[in-house]
Amino acid sequence: MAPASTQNRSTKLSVNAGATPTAKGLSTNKSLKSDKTSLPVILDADNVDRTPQPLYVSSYSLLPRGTDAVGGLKVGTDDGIKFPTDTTPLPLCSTSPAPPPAPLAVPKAPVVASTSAEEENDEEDKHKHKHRSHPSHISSKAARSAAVSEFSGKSEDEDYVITLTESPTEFLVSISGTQMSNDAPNYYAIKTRNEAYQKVLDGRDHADNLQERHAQTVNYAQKTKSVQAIPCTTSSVGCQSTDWDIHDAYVGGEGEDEEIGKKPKEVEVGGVEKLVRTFTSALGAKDCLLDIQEASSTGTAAAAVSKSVGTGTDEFDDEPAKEEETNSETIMSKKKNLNIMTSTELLKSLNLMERAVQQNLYHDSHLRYRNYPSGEEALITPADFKTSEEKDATAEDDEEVLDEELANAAKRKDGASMSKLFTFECELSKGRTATTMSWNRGNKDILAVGYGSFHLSDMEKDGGLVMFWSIRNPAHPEKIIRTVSGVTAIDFSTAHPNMLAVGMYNGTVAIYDMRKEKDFSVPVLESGGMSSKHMEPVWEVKWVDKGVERGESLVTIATDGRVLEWNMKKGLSLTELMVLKRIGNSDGVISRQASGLCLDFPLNDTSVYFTGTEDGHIHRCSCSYNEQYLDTFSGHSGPVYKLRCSPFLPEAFLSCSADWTVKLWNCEDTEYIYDFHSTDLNEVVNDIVWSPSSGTVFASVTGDGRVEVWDLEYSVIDPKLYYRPTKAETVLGVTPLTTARFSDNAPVLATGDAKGKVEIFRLEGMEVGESVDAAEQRRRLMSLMEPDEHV
Amino acid sequence: MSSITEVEETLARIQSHKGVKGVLICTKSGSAVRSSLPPAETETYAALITQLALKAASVARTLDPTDDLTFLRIRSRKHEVMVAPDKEYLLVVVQNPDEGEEV
Repeated sequence: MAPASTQNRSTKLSVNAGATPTAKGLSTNKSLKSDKTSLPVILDADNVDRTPQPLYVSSYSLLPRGTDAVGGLKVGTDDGIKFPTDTTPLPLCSTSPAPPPAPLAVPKAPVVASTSAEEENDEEDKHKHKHRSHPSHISSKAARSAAVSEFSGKSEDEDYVITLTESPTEFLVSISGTQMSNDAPNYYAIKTRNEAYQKVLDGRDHADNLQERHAQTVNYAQKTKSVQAIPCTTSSVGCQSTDWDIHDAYVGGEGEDEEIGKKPKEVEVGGVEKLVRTFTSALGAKDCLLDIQEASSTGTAAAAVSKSVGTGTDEFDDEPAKEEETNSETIMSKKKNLNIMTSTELLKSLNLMERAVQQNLYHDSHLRYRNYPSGEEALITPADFKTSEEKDATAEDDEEVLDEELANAAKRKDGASMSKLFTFECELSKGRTATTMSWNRGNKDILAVGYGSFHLSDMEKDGGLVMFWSIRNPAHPEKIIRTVSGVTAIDFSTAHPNMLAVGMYNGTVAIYDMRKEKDFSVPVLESGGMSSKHMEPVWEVKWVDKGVERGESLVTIATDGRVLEWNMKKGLSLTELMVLKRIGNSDGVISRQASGLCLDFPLNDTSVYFTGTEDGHIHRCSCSYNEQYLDTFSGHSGPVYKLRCSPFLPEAFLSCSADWTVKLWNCEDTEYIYDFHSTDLNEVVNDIVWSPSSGTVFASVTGDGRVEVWDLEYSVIDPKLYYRPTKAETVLGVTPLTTARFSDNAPVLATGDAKGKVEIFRLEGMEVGESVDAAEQRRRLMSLMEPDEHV
Repeated sequence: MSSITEVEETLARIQSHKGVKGVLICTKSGSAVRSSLPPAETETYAALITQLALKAASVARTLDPTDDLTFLRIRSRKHEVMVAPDKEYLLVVVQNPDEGEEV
């Protein structure tokens, strides 16, 4: 522990500060604190310095004697202690002089390097205060110079101030010795005490005041007591956790969000079952006042539960408890069943189911209605990929097959044909005459059919019917409206597709709203109480859209010869558009008024209209002028039953009459252009209708059950397609066909007959090319109407 | 609440359609409310169909929890079973579609 600095070691082994080597060993200073003035230097007899040197000397430990090597040096404090020492490593016995400085350089190198790096970094720092907790340091001038010489560009003369401080002493172990020197201050006291103790120890064996006693602790008797705990009753509960279960619990179930304001429903687990059980047991209790029906009678479920005093108790008195429960369960189940049977959902499900059942039966017909290829056509067979010759051969085979299937149709080489697809018929409609039909403008699959009569008959007292048919269920209409009187005219509105105007045999005009949930049969508006309403059968009702300001109004014509316009702005109000007067010779005639039978507005013109009368005249009238006709077209020799303007050409219109003919007119010309009359037709033509897809096609239905489809392009002499009832059907008498309508969205023609049957015919091969637009249709029709081109 | 007569009428109508073997209304727990099938068959159908409808509804709802099963049809070689499920009941119709097919 001798500092390398003090080389003046005396050879005498002497220990200063009164420490003499005794037999008990060398005494040491208890305190290891550094005290430069009283550093123990051990000198032997010859005054050779025998101070023990530390076994390990780091080359950097240039500590003064007594300095704690553990704490390390703090270099760079402000003490400014200079330490001009050399850095020679200390030998064990401090005899040898300075060892070679070589080993010094090596371990120092990394430190030096870092030091150099650091010194190079702060060249500006002239004070060179280097804080380093690393025990590395530079201390001796020699070493310094050695180190400095390794630096680049550092002068030797620069002083490095190295400050050494001592860190506080930490006692890690302090084992005080049991020896003490004779020179200790309390030597005598301790010696006395030692002797006294020794005395005590010696006298221990024979001492009087030493007593030995034994005592035994009581061992209590032990008792074992055990208690068996009742195991908890366990029950297994399992459930399948599914996504929707979680969703339900969180959101509160389907469709209930709106009711409860989007709060999650607090569902008590098992709450419903609890309720049922409670209710069941309550019903089974002796004091139950609810009457219990016999289990066997299911009957009218409405009478299942009724209140009565005493009956309940009587029944239960004699029965064992088990049966009580069964009875009440039966009640519960019966009540539940009743609820189910009367729920609206069940009705909806039944309707849905009925449609599904019908779909199974009518699937092919549905496909043909929708113009989907079905059956043979639908299959993509190798035939499609055959060569052209093979194709021709198979095509003929297909045609033959088709021929056999379509027995009643007129089959033509160019593929045009018509065949029955559906028959709308139900119990209610049997026997009634289908007088009028109208396809709904909104949902084009719905066909409204009005049932009534053309003549006063027995059926009139039963009232009339309007049935709404859909192809989804040909056996039963979707909705039924019962009317007071036979229905003679109906029309769906275009602006409000849910409004239906109905004209009746007793002259009533009523408007129904399809969207009403309840009281469906109650009309929204009715002309019943109005004074100037029609008094005679209304033969035509037509919705006319008069533009944005005036809205849509209804125009009707009746046998009383009046043309009325109805307005719905404030209830039902009417204005008289026209009174049809007879023209020509008016002698010997009962009334001066003509009976109007039909009415139609030309395309895009709502101010002019055409009417047909019982006299066979057709008049063109103006809405604003109710005194006189604009034009009169004469040609028919019988009542004009129907008048139809072309949907493509405003000037052209058709009329059909009881004189077995259909005539085509141009409104600019008072003479008809064409007269359509099948040669063997001897019956009235009841209805005509233009095709909505082809400007030159129209259909007519006659009193002998015939349907004829004419195409002006094809021929004006004969119809292109026709359907005649078979011999079998005419055995019992011919059923006149009374009404016909083309469908807008499907290639079908609907016809109604006097027995209440509505037939849907599928027309094949009548489609026009898609490139033909309205203007083209017009042109075609126009050109056909030019009398010069045709003989 | 719809009148019971409407329901009865529609039920009778469905039963009278071509090829319909029977109509069954049962509760979700499998007890029959109304049936036009013999009792043994009724029970069988009720038990089997309720389980199947439950599973099918689970499938539909697991795929999308906001969705729900509206109709289920099982077509076999001889019959077609159509099921219209609801919250409290199940409406089952058994039909033989080939019998009723029209050209």
